[in-house]
Amino acid sequence: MRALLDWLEERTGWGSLARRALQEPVPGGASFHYVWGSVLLLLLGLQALTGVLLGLHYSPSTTDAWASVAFIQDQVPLGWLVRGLHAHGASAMVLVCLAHLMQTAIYGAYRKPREVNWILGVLLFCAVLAFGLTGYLLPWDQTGYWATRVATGLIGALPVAGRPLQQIVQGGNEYGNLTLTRFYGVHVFVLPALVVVLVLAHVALFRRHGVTPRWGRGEEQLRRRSEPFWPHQLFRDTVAGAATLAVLVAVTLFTHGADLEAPANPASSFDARPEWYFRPLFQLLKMAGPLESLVSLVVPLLVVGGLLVLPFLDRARSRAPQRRLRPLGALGLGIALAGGLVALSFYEDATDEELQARLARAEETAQRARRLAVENGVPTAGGDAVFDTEPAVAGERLFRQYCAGCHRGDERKGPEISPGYSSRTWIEDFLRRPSGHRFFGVTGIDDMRPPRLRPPDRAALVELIYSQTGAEDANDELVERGRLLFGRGRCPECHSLDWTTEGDLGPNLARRGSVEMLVEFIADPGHPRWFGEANEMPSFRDKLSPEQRRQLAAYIVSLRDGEWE
Amino acid sequence: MPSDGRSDRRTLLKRATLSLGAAVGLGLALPLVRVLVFPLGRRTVSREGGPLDATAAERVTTEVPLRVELRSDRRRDAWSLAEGVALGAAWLVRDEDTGEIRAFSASCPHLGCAIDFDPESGLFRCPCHQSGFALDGRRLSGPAKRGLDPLPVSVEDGRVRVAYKRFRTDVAERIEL
Repeated sequence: MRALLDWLEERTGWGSLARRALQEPVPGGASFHYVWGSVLLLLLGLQALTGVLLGLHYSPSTTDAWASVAFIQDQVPLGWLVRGLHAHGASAMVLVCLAHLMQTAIYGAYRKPREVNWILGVLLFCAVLAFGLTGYLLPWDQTGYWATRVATGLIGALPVAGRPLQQIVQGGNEYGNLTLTRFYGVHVFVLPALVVVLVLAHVALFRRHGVTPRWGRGEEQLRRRSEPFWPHQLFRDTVAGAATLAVLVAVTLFTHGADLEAPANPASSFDARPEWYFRPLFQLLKMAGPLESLVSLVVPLLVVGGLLVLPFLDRARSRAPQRRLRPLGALGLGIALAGGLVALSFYEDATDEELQARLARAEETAQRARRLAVENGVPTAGGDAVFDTEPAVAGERLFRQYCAGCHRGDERKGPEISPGYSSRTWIEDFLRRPSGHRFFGVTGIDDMRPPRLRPPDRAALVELIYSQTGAEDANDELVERGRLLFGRGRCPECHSLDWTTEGDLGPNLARRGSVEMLVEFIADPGHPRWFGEANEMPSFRDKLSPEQRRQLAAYIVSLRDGEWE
Repeated sequence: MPSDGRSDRRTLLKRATLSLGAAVGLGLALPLVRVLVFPLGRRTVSREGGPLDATAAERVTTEVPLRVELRSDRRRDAWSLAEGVALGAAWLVRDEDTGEIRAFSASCPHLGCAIDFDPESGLFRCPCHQSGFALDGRRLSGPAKRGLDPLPVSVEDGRVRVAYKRFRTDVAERIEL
């Protein structure tokens, strides 16, 4: 073993390089104050690892992005953990960047001759934020889609080059496949390459100038208390890294990974919110009113510019923080302001009850989309088409488009079809006033008279009609009693209960309100089995395919379990 | 150092290296940049067909605006062709005086968030940055620089048909994309 190492050393010199790196003296001794850079490197490594694992499963296209992320989140074993670590890891990086930045500022480590390294650090912080911005869109879910549209909209509103820049960033005139491939390319290739180069330069410059020890110690004292990097500092770095990872894993477990909203749908409405670290800008935009272009352009420029020139403004003789109150105060004030804006933004959201209700509904939609994606798979038409795999949901859309005009609202031309339709309560209500305005009163078919029934008989008849819908919870005994009553009473004068009889005065009630009956009925309501010549409803045989009619029927049947008011 | 043959040669080599490198770099950069900026001014997302079927005309009342989703017949998104995808949404309002139906894009002219209707105030409102708009689309408050974008609307056989368009956000003029 020894011989092998010697052989390698002779040919590469790597051993002595590593020894030099590890034995680098830390003047004034190792300290927990110096850990942040190492923690950032560790987090960066974790982001790279989890990012690669995500990349092995992700597909950047408008049709596949959400589906593949939902697959990672809900079907790849521990996929949710990897994705959660990646998403929360980004938040951790921003926080640790801030800690690193504060430590550097307080120790005056940006001062001559380390200004360039401070500038590299500020650029790295910008790169971390750019990672967050580009990564937010990649799942192509509602949050990412809507929030990023705001971000690119802001780019488009920049003076002079705004519009061309927006087109290059979003890959054309509108959001689409090229938006995703561009964001993906930047997130996965451009930014990592940039960060690797910047980090190498950052660490190299750090090594060149060495650690900036605590202020107010003489050189002799620093030298005397100097300790080698390994193991003194590396031990502390490892402890801090382990603690950071522990928190990150705990948060990820506690939240069960990162959120995944419903697939992006440009036709829906969604309360776009950016990641928390962009909330200061978001909140400022909300408050800025007509000053918006000022806020969206000038504030970020001022912040980044201010950070970049900080080392050149700090001209105090002493490195002691109490002698450098102005630059440190400005920095502290900036961070406090940003923190205040984040808090204000979350506070405003939390106290907005309507917003909370909308968010709760959005969460329900997201859960449904993810359940359907697991159960049925996502159609190749795109993430949003996952809802079509549940017939009732596709049916609801068709209902709103084709049926709601006549069967919902005050301008109805037919019986009301809303939650509770064909439920027991609905049937009972109908039997009391078949020509009521919610039933056939709005049509010309309003000549049925309400049957007079004793309560137990009414319940039996209701159960009989209810059982025709195919409801599984119909009480067989009651149904049988209802069937006897039906035959004995006056019902058969106008209605039949077998599928074949046609030409009665009223519609045949066999399988009334079931999927198979509705599929046929919607195609041809004027069929002699149902309303015959009295029919007023148009036929939908040509307008809706059998599949669409089945979806519509599934939706109408699903209403049965709702509440009729 | 006195000028001798070796020094001249060195200067020539330096210049030649730099020129050759620059030429190769430029030659490579041109096509690469061309690919990078190719979406400029290009309709990478487009759709075929005329106005889109929105809903039955009788559903649009004078009291409350109606939100309709607009789905396209055929939509090209770079390399892919899709049918029946959601393009966006519109708000339909029936004018109290004339009884005519008007349509507004539900995409906020500020930064493209989806406009909501607030029944309490009877106004359109953007949930992102709180721009407010009247029922006739006029801008009332907030950072938006213009009113809601009207969309051409027609009624045929009792069905409302809306021509879907997108406009540039965050500018005062209405520029179709």
